[in-house]
Amino acid sequence: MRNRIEYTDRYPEELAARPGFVVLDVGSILSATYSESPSDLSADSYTAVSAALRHQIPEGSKHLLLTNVGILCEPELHLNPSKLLLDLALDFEVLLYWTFPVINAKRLVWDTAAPQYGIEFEPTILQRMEQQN
Amino acid sequence: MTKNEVLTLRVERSLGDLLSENADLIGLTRADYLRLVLRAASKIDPKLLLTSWETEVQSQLLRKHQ
Repeated sequence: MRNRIEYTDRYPEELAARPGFVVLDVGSILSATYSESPSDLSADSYTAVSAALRHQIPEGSKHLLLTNVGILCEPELHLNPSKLLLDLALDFEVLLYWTFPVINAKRLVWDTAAPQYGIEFEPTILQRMEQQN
Repeated sequence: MTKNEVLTLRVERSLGDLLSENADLIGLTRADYLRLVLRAASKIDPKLLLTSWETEVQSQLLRKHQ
């Protein structure tokens, strides 16, 4: 059981190419799954989104790199993106590729002018991944 | 709502708010809106997400008012 989410603003190409490292383009996955039937997201968007993502993860995988995660902040989905990501982190090492601002080392936001749209964690949970040049 | 008024609508992350306030005028249902958002999210990298999102919704709004 893990209680940590890492993020990076530089795409970790070397990590992403390693065996057992699964790259999930969240926006593309949700689009492919639900764009023709968006009402399927209405009743229980949390379960629907979680199922769509987990369906893409091969058995035995241990590491996830999540890209294009902005869709999780969409207000109309009525998601709790923090909970969704922390639930994934119970089963996998989760690394977010996030190129937008991070406020107080705990809140990922689209921009600082609209901080209400974002994903917030406890500061001890969200950690920036250090990468070597 | 005129074409110019549609053009000047500020389309942003709070499109859900825009939809709820102007749903009748715009003619977008929640399903329409989610479909647009999902389609936009499929084809772009994160840096372009907002731009693509806005473009798709603006186009949709204009088509409905032409």
